[in-house]
Order: sequence, then C-alpha cells, then structure tokens
Amino acid sequence: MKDTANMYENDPTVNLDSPSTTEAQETTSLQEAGNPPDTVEDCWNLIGSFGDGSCMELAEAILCRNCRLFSTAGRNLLEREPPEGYVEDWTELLGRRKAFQGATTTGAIIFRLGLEWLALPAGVFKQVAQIRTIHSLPHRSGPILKGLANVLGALRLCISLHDLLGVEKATDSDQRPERKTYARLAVIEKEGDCWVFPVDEVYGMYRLHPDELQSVPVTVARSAVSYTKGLFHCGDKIVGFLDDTLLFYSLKRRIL
Amino acid sequence: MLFILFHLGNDRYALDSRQVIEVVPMVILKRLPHAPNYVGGLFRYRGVVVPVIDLCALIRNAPCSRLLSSRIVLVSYPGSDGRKHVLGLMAERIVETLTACEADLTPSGIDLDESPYLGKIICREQEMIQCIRIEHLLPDSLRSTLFQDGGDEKTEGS
Repeated sequence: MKDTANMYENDPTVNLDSPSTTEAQETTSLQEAGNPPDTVEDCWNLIGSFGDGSCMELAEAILCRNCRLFSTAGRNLLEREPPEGYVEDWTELLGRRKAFQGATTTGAIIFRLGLEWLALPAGVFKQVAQIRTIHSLPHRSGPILKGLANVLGALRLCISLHDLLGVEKATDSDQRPERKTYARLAVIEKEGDCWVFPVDEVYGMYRLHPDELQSVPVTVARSAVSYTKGLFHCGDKIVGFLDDTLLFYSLKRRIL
Repeated sequence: MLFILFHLGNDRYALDSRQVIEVVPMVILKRLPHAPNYVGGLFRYRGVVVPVIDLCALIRNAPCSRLLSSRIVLVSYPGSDGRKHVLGLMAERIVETLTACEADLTPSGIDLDESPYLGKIICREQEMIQCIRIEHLLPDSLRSTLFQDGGDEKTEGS
C-alpha cells in the first residue's frame, strides 16, 4: 500500500496546510522515529471512518482498520511501561506446569435422536450437513436403509439410526420450546465405509476423559444398550457414548 | 516462511518461526553473576529453568527497554550435547510477523566473526530486515555452561 503521507513529506511544492495531511504526517513521523507521543492523535475518530470520513487515505484503504496509521497506533499502545504487578503475575503464571489435558481425552460429537442424547467419537464424523431429501431405493425398503442422499456431490447410503438403535422418534410435543433446534444429516466414515443418518439435533463437540465414562445399568433392556460403550454427563444431559466399531460392523453386515 | 520481527533501536530483525516455541511477556529474571552482560538471567518456564539472552545487549550493547512490547521469544536451541534446549531471547517491539519465501532472502555478503548469528537479508519497502541465525547466537563456552543444568526440574541456585 502506498504511503501517501511519506510521499508529501519531502516535497516542498506540496501545500502542507491541510489539517488532515499534517495530522497524519505528524503521527507517522513520530511513530517511525520509534518515539511514540504521549497522546495519540486519533485521526480515525476525527476524519476517518469513525469520524466524518474526510481523510484522503480512505480512498485507498476504505476503512480505517486497513490503514497503516491505525495499525501502527494500535501497536504503539504496547510502547509503555507494564502496569503494576503485571511482570510479577506473568512470572508466576509461566512458572507453573501446564495442566496438560490434551493427550488423554477423546473428542466426541454429541447429538440427539428423539429424546436420547448420544455421542460418537469425533474421528468418525466426516461432515454434519443440512437435512436434505433422501431418495428411497426401489425394492430395498427395509427398516434401517432409507435410501440415498447427495452429500458433497457423492451419493451416500442413508440409514435410520433411530431404527437401528430402537430409539423413538421425537414428536412435536417433545420439542423443547426454549431453543430452536435444527435437524441435521450426519455423515460418518470409517475405513472406507460411509454412512449418512438424520439426527434431530447436533449439540457439538465435547472432550471426554476416559474416567468419565460410566457403565450402562444392566436393567435397561433396549437394543441401544448393546451399542453403548458407556454413559457420561455433559452439562445437564446424560449422553450415551456409542461403540463406533460395533456400529460400522453391524451396518455393514445388515445392509451391504 | 513465517518470521517473527523485532526491533533493536530502529533496525528490524527477523527470527524463523519454525524454531519458536512460544512468545511470552517480560518476566522477572534471576541474574547470573559473572555471566556476560548479554545474558539477561534465568526464569522458570513450565517447571523448567530457561536462560534468557538479551539481544539488545548482545547486538547493540544496550539493555532492552522494559516496555510491554519487549518480550521474550522462546526458541528451540541445539545444545552441544545434541539435545534441544529451550532458550529465551529478549528483544524490543516484538509485535509483528512477516511472511517471505526462500527467494526473498538474499545473503548479506558480509560474514563477521563477531556476529556469526547475522544471517540473510529480507528487503521490504526500502528496508532491510536481517535474519538471526539462532544456532550461532552463543559462543561454545557459554553454550555448554548455560545448558549444563538446564532442562532439569530442580531450581538452580547460584
């Protein structure tokens, strides 16, 4: 970006009386000398995009934040003595060992099917897409295989995880009134097998520590139980963590 | 290639970001008596004692100004034992980065014995920014002294 203020600096023929140029010049020359002024001329508030917009630089920069003067002024905010206790606080903070959490946790994507909150390891999720039409396959109408869907240009096999796990579909009366939820199409993939299924809501990602997983109570007699590796708490929800290996295996066996 | 820029007075220098671990604010350094004046001192970084070199004192013979923009760049420094150690480099106005490709780096043409750490030059807008070669920053004698106990978990006393 051309620095027009510098261009005028050494040219004796240019009229330097216009306030905007002089102001901008002063700030530039002071800052470039490495000697920041005690008070910064906030040209962006006076003649810039936050002011009356009369600055010449706006013709090229459009907005003040693209202008070099603005960014230089911002950086010069650091050209001052650190406040009380700043250095001492940081010395103490940096001395501590980092509470290392990363390696032992696994990421899990939490989603809702009906009234059940379930999760799968984040690694199997390829995409969470907008809900779209699922085209049914002729002569292949089973309870689990729903058809084909176009995801990212590829035709993917669509299944109903509700039916595979025996989860009841949510009715309108069950929908929570306080939050608008969006149904999504989850795309999961593992070792070349790709499956797509609609979910009622995707909550998001949660970093799960292996200790958090609790065993599933044996008294619960539903087919979803056999797919669940364990339960964990996320906020106010109890989420069932599904076994992805078993899921892919049974899908492959039943459908392909 | 990404470079972290810093000022020494009005001159700008660049550090290759591939060797950089973290940039931390200025901290209180424990002075090392009888060490050269460009050794700023030691501080604890995540349980490890790290030596800090004052680049202003090393290159310009003037200590770093203690402003908010003066920070410490923690780099991965190859020790004389072949292991990588953490070394702190204190400099002024570490607030910018620069992206340049290999072709932008031109040799300075001067290789001084006193400053083997000065590397190639990047030309930007009529300004010349010199790269710092971290591996040549310290003389061998200082290198072995500083990293003798460095990397250990116990606090150094002197």
